[in-house]
Amino acid sequence: MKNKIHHIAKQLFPSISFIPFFLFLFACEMVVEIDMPQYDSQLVVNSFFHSNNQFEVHISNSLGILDTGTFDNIENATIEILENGQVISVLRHIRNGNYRSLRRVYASAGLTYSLRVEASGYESVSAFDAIPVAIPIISATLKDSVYVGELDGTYAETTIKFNDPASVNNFYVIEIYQWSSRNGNWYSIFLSSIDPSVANDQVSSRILFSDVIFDGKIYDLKVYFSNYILTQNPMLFVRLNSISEAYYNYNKSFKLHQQNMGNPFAEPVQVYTNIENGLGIFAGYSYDEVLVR
Amino acid sequence: MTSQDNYFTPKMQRNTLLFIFFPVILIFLPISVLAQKPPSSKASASRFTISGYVDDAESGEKLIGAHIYETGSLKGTTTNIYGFYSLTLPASDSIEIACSYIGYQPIKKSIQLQSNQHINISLNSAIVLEEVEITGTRIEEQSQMSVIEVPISQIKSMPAFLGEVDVLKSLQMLPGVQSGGEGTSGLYVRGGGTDQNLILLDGAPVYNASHLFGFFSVFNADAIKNIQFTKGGFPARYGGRLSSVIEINVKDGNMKKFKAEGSVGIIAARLTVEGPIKKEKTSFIISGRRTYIDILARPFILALTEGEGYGGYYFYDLNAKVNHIFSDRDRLYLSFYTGDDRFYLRASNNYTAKDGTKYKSNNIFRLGWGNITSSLRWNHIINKKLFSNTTLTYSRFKFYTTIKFENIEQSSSSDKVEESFTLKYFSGIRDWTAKVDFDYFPNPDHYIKFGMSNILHKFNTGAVQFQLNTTGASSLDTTLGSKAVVANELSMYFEDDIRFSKRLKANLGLHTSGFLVNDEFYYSIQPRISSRYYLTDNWALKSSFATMTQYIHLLTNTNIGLPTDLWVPATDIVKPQHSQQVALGAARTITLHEKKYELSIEGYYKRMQNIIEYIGGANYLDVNADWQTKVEAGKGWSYGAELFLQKKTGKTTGWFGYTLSWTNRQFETINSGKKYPYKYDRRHDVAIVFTYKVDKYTEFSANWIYGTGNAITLPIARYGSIYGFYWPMSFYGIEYYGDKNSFRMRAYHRLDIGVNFHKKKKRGERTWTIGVYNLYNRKNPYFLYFGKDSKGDPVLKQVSLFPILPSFSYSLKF
Repeated sequence: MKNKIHHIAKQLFPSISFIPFFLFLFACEMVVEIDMPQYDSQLVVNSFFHSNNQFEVHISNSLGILDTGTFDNIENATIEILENGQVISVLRHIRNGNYRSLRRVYASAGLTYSLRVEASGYESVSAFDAIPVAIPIISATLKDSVYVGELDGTYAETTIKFNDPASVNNFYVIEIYQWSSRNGNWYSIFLSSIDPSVANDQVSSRILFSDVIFDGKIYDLKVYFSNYILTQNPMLFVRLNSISEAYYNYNKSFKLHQQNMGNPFAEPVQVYTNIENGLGIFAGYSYDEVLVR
Repeated sequence: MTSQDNYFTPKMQRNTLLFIFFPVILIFLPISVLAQKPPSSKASASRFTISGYVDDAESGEKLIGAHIYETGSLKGTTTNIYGFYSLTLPASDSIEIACSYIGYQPIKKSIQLQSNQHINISLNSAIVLEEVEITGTRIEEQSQMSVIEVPISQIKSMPAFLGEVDVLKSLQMLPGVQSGGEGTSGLYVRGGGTDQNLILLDGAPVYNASHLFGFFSVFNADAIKNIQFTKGGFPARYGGRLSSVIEINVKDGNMKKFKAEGSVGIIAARLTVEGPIKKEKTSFIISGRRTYIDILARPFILALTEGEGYGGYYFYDLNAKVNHIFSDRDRLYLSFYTGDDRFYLRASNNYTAKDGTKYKSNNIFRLGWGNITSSLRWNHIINKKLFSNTTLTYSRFKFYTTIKFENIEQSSSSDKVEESFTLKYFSGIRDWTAKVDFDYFPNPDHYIKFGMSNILHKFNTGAVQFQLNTTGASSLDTTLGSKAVVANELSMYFEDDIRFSKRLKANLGLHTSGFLVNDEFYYSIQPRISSRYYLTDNWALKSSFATMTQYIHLLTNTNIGLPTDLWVPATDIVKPQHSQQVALGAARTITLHEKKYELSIEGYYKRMQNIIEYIGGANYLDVNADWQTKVEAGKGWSYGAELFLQKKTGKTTGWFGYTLSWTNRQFETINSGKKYPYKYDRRHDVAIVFTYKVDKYTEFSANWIYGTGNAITLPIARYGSIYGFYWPMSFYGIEYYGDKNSFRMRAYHRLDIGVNFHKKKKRGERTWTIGVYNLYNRKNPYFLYFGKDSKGDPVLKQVSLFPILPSFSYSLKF
């Protein structure tokens, strides 16, 4: 029943805006000519990079809205990573448009990195972003079978305590991973939260939030996941990602974009990009993680 | 710390003081005027006052805006919205007083003015076919500008969408007013939003004036006496909204005899009954309208579902009004309106399993919204020069949804198990208003109005209630969402319509208001000025300046006016809206072949601050989130020129309106902070409204409207997101939009025609109305989207809503 309630609450109200569709009893459709501006395909950069790791970047292209082709992975691009204006790495193409820096080149928290991409037939693009310093998890506690009124059900609850630095805009992502002994791998668990700082920002299985309402304070953030997972008695660890503002803006706008796309009565949402002369995202993050079980 | 903080600390003390201080000022001003003695002193002995009411001779309906003047000096006045006038003139053995009103035969009366006199005037309606041009106050005479009165008879004779006469849609055809999408009754006045229109029904605000998502408005034309539309140069008596004031007055009810009229159309039927309860003392009017498609369709739906389900939609309106004349000095009006839209759907299912267990389920869905307004008004003539009106109003808008699932399981071996789940969502606003207004007529060169009002708002910004009951289990009843917010809005005004000379007349005024919400107090001082100056005997130059403040906002994240849109107060985070508007124009009455036409040309510039938009498509339906964090305040501009040529009487009536305008918006985070065109930025807007009375049995009407296409945002490219690394890219694809509202839909234009055939019957008059909407079947854009053609290639498609639509209705008046 709880799922039913939430399903209805979430689905019903946005669908109200579609009710005028019943008036399309009379409606008709026609193809219209519109002067689309000349659109030159741009380079699309997709990269989330984090501390103590190599840079990984995916390069593809964008297409005009009436273009019938598919996105191309750009495999002949020249990609440079710069630190303080100095090139620290030229990335190598691995496969399918994915590029990686040399093993000895690692990103570091607290530093700002720039990116330059050149590819034949496209305008060169650039971007820069910093990796925030990871905010340590003070503690992470796990409780079984907690009733959550707002979610109308019983869940496993994890409370993550951390100290948010004052007078700085901080942005975070929380993830919880479970170990699957069958596959020998870690899997991300689908999380929910009713914390006011999270509001509606959740993207995929993770919790995205900012420190607007708890700037400079020690904060306990609660996240919930299915009790069923605990019955399997897996190993669990919590990861608190400290993400850049660009990372946050991209994810937040991406979710709203997906939500409104195709609804003719809703205002379209532009997905945030920090790529100069191009599209996509180049954003840094770092993280701290603890085992909770 | 600001200088203001130094003066007023702590904050709460400041707010309380200000709130107490305001009413004190408000009370002082009326008292100072009331304290004036009536003109009995020697100094004023040579001047006397004629006062009284002007009404329709046949029905006793009071006439609003009738012109009363002395024929020699041409000094005069007009009746207020209760039909009252007061004119003070020098004593004379014989003076001639004339009274005229549009559509009525003027009368002249010689009187001996040696004492104050109470003279009630009754006017007979004119016979329009005679083409006698009978008008009231000339357009160039008025100091006010940007005000339009559309005779209700004109509105009723215009072609109507599906036969439903619509007051707001007729206002959309005036210059400076844009409609929203196809068929909707929303008003976008001089670049403002739909929330910036103050719609007053007998003095009570109406918060949602539309039925069926805006396709029809809530006002039943049969019950309406008069509509006045003000889009700029606001006199000080108006406040609380930025863009327009629409004053709609319901008929008082015939004081002399019983009358009824009713009609049956394609979608709705209506009936109006009015008459005296006590002749010449008390009258009533009651008018109702209801759509009936749901009733007609129900048997078919039941047959199709074998009795297991039915559903439908209807809306209704009910206006009722009673008024009583206690004496020449006192009159009381009680006015009531209610109207609702309701969708309903019910499905039930019965099933018996092989083991004999019976299962029964009921699923119920209800969706509705509606207004209630009521007003109690007391007119009191304090003395020959001072008229007062005290008003108490209540207004409520409510939106609600209910979903209910019931399951019953009954087996022979165990007890009956019942499970029910109910989900309700509700939002709305309630207003309680107390106000007092005074009209003071010291002499023909001054017409002073002043007053004060207090509005208590209660905002319900959306709540969800869950109820779960299961036999043998604990029940659940939880309500989530924002708590109701109470706010108090206080205002006062003072204005004087001054005739400085024969050429120069001005309306000077000041409107002040305060708003107390939680711990926050806002106040605003709004100067208002409008003037006319006769350049020649016929041409008047007009100018106006008005600042307006609006303490409430409408949250909407759709492009159509939905009842789910939320009214919210200004808060400490989201500030009140402000606007400043300046206008310059010219007006004259043109006589051509002995027919009179009113011509006005106006240019305006309006800017608005603290208008709100949702940030990046945020969703108001997340009851856990605070709406204040989801909106952004920004700025708006609108400027343009308007031309209006109107013919109000005669065989041919109607108007031509043209607007050339630009409207922009700017928000810090929307469109990368760049200025962008408002969705309803419409460069050219043309309306031609034409009614021709062929003879006393036949009336032909036509409207043609044209508007530049709405500004829209379209994707210009697509690309893969970071989540598309591992494909499928199409699911995680991103559309790239370019600049906001940088595309235009195709132009909108449409021709509607209608013919009324009247015939006198034994008892009264019947009318057949035949109309055609969108006569040449123009495919006007409703929305655009990218789809695929028959070859699978992407193309831009346009969805149009209404093709050519014929309609008819039959009405009877007796």
